[in-house]
Amino acid sequence: MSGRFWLALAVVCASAVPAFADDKAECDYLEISASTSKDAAIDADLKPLEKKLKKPPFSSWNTFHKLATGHVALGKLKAEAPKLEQGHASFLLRDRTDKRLELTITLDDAAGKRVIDNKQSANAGEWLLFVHNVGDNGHIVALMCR
Amino acid sequence: MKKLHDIDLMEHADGEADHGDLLRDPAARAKVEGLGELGELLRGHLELSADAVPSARFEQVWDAVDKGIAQPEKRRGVWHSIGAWFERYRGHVITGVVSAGAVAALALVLRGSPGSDGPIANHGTGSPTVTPVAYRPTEIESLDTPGGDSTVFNLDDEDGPATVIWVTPADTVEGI
Repeated sequence: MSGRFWLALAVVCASAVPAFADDKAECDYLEISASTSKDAAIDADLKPLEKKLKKPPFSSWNTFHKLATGHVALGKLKAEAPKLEQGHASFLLRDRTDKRLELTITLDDAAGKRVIDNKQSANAGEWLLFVHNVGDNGHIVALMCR
Repeated sequence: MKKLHDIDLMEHADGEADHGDLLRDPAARAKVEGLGELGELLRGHLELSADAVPSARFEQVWDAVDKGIAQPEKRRGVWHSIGAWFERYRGHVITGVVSAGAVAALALVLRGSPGSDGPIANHGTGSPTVTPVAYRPTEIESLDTPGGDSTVFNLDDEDGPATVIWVTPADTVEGI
């Protein structure tokens, strides 16, 4: 058979193989405390979110401290619990394509009460911020998966 | 006897006037015969010239056609082939370019302004707003916030978009 046929066959086979056949996602997370104080401050570790934290409605606070940060590798339908300073969270990858991730996220407060139970289809590489008002302060968990 | 002038002879030779009774003079007859022969020669020459011009031109045309048919296809360069392709499919190319431009213009017009930071959902209090087609926002499939009110919105800046889920306890007097 001609070389052109084999080339076409190779292209078809390559395009038929899913880009993420292993269905994994690599995720970074940040746990942040938000408050208002005399001297505004944003921790250097929060650089990826600094511009967003300076915009409304986050700008109602002026002090943001990192409580925890880490990386989790999510396997399909295997819930992972990041280590948080305040409360508890779980991240679950339900499905994914090369650009979209179907995630289930739960957040419990420090008293163990469920705050958020969320299922969503998010863009890969996009930050997801979960904010919980605690009195005048805020508790933020930010998640970004690829 | 009336004297014959040259003009009379020419009229007689052309058949415009009949002066036969006056052509007894041998010199006049010779002039008339000479004029007749000269006229024949001139007509013949003009007819030949008239016939020769179109046939020569047709010969040139057929020669060019014969050359075009008989000339074998020469090995040309890549650029010549590309140019020939564009020349051959010029109508298609122009149509394609114009169509692509129209579609691009339509997409730009319909896309609207990117980066709207407004809420995409306000749980229980508001309705979703229209978001740009080019950016596919996070889809909230389900959201449960026991004992609290939630607001979902996009936040966009130079670092890229982010989806925010903001939960305010129900007993909080002031919202966000």
